[in-house]
Amino acid sequence: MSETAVVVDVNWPIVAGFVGYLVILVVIAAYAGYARAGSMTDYFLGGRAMRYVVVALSSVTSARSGWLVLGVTGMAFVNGAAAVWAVVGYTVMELFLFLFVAPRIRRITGRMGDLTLPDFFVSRLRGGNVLRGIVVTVIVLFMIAYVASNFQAGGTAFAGTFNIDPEWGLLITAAIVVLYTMVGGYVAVALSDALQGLFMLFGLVVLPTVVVASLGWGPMFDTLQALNPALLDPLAVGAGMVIAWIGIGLGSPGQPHVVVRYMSVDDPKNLRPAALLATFWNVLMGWGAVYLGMAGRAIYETEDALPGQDPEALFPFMAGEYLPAIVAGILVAAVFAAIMSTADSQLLVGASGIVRDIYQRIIAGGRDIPSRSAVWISRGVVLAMSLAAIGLLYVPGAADAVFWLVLFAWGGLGAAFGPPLLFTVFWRGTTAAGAGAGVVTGALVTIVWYYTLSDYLFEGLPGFAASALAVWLVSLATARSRPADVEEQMRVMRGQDGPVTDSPEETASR
Amino acid sequence: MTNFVLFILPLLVLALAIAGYVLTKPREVQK
Repeated sequence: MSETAVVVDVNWPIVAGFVGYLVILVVIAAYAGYARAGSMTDYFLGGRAMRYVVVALSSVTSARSGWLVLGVTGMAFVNGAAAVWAVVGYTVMELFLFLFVAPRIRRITGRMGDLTLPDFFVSRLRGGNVLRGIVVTVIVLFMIAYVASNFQAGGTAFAGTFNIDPEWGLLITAAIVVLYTMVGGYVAVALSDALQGLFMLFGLVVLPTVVVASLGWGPMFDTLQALNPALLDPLAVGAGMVIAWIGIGLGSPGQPHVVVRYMSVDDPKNLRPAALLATFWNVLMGWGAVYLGMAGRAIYETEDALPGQDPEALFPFMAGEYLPAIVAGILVAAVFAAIMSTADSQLLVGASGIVRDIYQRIIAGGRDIPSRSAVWISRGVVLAMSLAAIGLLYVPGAADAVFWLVLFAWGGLGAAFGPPLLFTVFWRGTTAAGAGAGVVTGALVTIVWYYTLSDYLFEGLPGFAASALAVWLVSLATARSRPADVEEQMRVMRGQDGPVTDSPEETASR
Repeated sequence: MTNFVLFILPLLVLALAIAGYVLTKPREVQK
């Protein structure tokens, strides 16, 4: 291996930070594989026994990690104070989801023994394989594309830092993610995401604090004012951008890899403290990223001063400039970990759709699979899905399709699943046909809007609205197919059905 | 406006979270 040669041209604190992080990942995966990988519920939901701290942190990090650390700091560098709108929307939306949506989803999915988002739709709406097929197809397509693009991003970051070929960077990133996800399943993924949350909070609180303290708020604002007064005006980007950035929050309820976090908590009551913790985390990290971007702009003034003239390079660049080498090393490792923690969550959710929904429910007609074989089949699917994602990147047309899908991933998933999910949780009139119509309409409108009218309005907003309208109208038109036991389901979701919430078979097997 | 979005708004969001936490405290469920 040529790694020794690589280590020589790189500063050792970064290597030390990275290797240290990998060692922790291996320990987590080994623990998870040993402690909780006995059944499909263990492998895909941590046995519905996760602590609220892990649920809160892993939900906020797997939802945004790389985008927040690199993207929002870059947005604040370019646009100044207006970047706040990009963080406020999802922060408030996720608070609402944790307090009012997550407990309902947790109660009913526990009662029904649901493992995946398609499971939830089908059992709550008494839908059939058509609804399951629509939902799982959208999930698997978007997740494979997401995973491929995250492997690619990890490879590029890896290559830049360790001075190796990006193709090797990609393969190393993929190998690390696949190994610990295969071995440890959901517990490894959630614990590593929670650890990543600690790294990110550290980076997005300590670094802005150090940088702003070195400048002072007053002089920083004066410099920005002199550079361009619009940097201090949060409305300078125009109403369209403000609405679009707040609208990023509409993507949150439709992310399957975030919704499964809610399903995995040990007790629905613990989602209240999780809401509080997740919001503190979102606020500290989000505003930290904005402060850092603005401070970076005051210091460097133009993008030309940044590596590659790229505003998204601000975070690792400033970490190197302002922090002791070993701390900077840990933060650079955190950027890799950010990318990996998102890829692992998406990989596992895609694999759960293939094993649970496509294989067990649709192909095998709901037949039980022995727990041990289910876990091994799931591991095989994680591996196969990763190989497929990597393979796609090497096929020219397919690689284009991957990046094409990722363009819509956040807004498209939000529009496809957000309204059907919210209607299914809160409105007893929702039907399976209505939910299916919402998924298809949301995804299609987002894509069509992107190509036609996205200069005027972010495609996620009309996609979300069209999806909501489709769920409502089609549900009204198919009102006769409402589930007969809808009142009981609503009681279960509201927690008015006694304290025991999980299915008896599952509780017995714990 | 600048000071509002940079310093007051994050505190308002945190206050909202605390209010949500307090107000969603489960009451005794009527069976």
